[in-house]
Amino acid sequence: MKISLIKSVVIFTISAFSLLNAQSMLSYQYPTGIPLISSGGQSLSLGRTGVGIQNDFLSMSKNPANLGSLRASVFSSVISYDFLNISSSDSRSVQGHFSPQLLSFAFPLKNSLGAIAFSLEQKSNADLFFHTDNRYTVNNSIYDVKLGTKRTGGISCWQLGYGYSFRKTAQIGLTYERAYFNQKSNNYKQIAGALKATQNDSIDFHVAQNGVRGGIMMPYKKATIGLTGEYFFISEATKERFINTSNQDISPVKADFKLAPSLSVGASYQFTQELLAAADLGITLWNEFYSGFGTDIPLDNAINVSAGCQYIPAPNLLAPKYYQIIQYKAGLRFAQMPKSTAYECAANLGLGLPLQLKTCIIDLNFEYGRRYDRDYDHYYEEFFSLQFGINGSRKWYQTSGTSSY
Amino acid sequence: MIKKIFISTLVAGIALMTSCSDMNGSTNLGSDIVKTSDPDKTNFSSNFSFFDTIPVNFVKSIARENDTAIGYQRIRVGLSATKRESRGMYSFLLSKAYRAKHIKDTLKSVVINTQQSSDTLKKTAVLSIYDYTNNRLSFSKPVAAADLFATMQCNYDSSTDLETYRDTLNTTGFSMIKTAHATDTSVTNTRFKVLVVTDYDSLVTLNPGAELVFTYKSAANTVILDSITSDSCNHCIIESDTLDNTLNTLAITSSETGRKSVFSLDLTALWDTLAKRTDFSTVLSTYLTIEDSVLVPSDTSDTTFSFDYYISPTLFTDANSLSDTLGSNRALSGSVKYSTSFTAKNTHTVQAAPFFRSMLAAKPDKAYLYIANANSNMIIQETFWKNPVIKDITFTNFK
Repeated sequence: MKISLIKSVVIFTISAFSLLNAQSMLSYQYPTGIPLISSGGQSLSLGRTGVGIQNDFLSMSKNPANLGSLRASVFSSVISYDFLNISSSDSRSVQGHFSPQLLSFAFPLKNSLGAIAFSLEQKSNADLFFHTDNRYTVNNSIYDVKLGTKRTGGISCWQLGYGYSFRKTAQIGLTYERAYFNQKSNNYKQIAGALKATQNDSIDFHVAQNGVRGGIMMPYKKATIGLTGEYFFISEATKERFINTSNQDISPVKADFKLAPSLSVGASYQFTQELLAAADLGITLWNEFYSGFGTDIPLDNAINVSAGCQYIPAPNLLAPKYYQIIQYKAGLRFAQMPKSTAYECAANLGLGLPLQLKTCIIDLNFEYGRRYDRDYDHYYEEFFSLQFGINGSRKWYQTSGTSSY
Repeated sequence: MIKKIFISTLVAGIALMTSCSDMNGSTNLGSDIVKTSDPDKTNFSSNFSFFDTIPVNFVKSIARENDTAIGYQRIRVGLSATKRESRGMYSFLLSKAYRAKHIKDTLKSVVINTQQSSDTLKKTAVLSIYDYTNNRLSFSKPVAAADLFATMQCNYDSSTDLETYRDTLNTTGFSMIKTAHATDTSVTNTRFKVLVVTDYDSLVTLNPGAELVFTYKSAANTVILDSITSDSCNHCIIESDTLDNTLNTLAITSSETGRKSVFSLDLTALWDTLAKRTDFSTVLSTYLTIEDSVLVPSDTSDTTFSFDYYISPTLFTDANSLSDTLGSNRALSGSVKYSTSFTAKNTHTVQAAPFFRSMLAAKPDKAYLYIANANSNMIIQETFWKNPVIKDITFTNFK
């Protein structure tokens, strides 16, 4: 009875959240929407730090070289409930959003031949819904007119990766990536008096892009250093337009398009069995982004910095109490947007809840942050996210290495 | 413990969601951001421009040509007070099986009878039955006396409160039916139709089924009675030439006669204005407002009627070709509906922008607004229309 009640609540909550939309108006300026920093559940609460962390459950989400040390078959998934509070002068608007962000599977190969992995991931969110209205009096009749823009879409991608370890002195990883950027936008003009008339100017933008990610990770005593990079190859994007008040067919327009490459470096240090600290520094090279359709604003290379730590009270105790094996995590992150004056910063607190002798971990992450642009003094966006990561592992066969968890 | 943490998180999430009570799908915040990227997205004056009113030059109405069949499954005959004549038609099927049944019998006489529909008014009409076959090309053509089959008197039966019409077919009618009986029974069906005409000065509504009662004499010299009932009927309202000329100058529509209203619109000022406002290229919205006055029988309860409206640069001269155009442009037509009673007045406001957008390329000096009754029932007798007002045309663009 109790379990079915919990299930009902979960289903209701997911359904309710799925009806919501979080719309960052700042994303209006950015060519692919708000960039999302990819992350496995285990690094969410570390401020999404993880380029230099060896952790099976991270799979290749932060660094494909992490696959080199994989000791068991793992899966990992992350879903996120986001709330956005948009403030402008004295007004505010609150919106919500539910989105699955990551699903990945990784499998170690026999005879220490490395590991392979597959993942689906969301890389950006371009959703927004904006309107502005006015009232006109014409010939003694009152008309409400409205201008609006609705966008949905973002970048999603799948990756196929391989990682290998060189006698535990270094690990390398390489992935093939297929990214899809789809954005449906509708610019509408509406007049409403006795009747309503609307002009819908819809644009369907879509492009599929090939990319590669590579990474290296070098453990040294209690420290690990990681480096990863991502590059996309130019491809042809299509823009299809339809206007409901036009009697003419508008032919699709095609142009070259290339997503921005990125580079990240990270490090972690295991102070004790209980305490781990890590930090990442990354840059998205928006100067290398190219769209044959042009961009609304000058783009700027965007730096992101994150740091976090994890504490487990008694990781190796033979008969610990449950709270002693929980992973307690905290992290901070700072990310520049594709524009030189826009930033977001966030603080994270989270728990890693081990289940079934630590072969499964549920991550709960609470994130609070703020996004702002110096060009718009009275405007900012506060976001609060509840994120859930579900990680599981199973050893199908014993690798030649030793397991410490 | 993990259950407690999980449930606590869930409760916190639901509480948070509930607390965001002003959660909505759209925001009007951030207009500066949109404005910076695309100033036109927030500028009303560059997206909306208004034009006043389109002048209406003349009104008229056009009638259906040839007054061919209307297609309603009921029958009304007689003369209306406004000098319209209604004629009806009954269709009978003499099937192969029926003819085979009486193949050895001799047809001696045929009686036709029908009933007036339940009508509180006691009619005294005399119905003339003619051969329809010779008159089917046009209900309105004069009926030849040589085609007369029967003349049915009205008989009122107070015990049943029914008014029946009955007469024996004359030689002409009898001969036609006898010939049909003699047809080779390998022919599947033989159909014949009769025209129902009266000069009664009011409309009489008849039941859809008329009956033909046959009297046969068998080979054994016994009398056999058998009958068939009409399987379809139709009627048409015909306007006299004098009335036609009068109605042509009025904005009037009619379900019965298929008459449609026409209004001439002067578009020169509209296109001149659009040419001056070079930032605007299309029509977003136009309100067409028009008032009607509907004549319906006084015993009709409130109901809903529909009209089609259509604006075209083509001036149609007959209602038949206009009906085809309305049918093929149904997507551009709209319907106005209302509840009414006898001589009701209603004001309708409908969207007319799609018609003007279709004329943007050619920019004709004149266009014509057509209004037609969309109902296929016969309840509405006539609808009179006041001059329409087409105003507050909103221009926009594709920026």
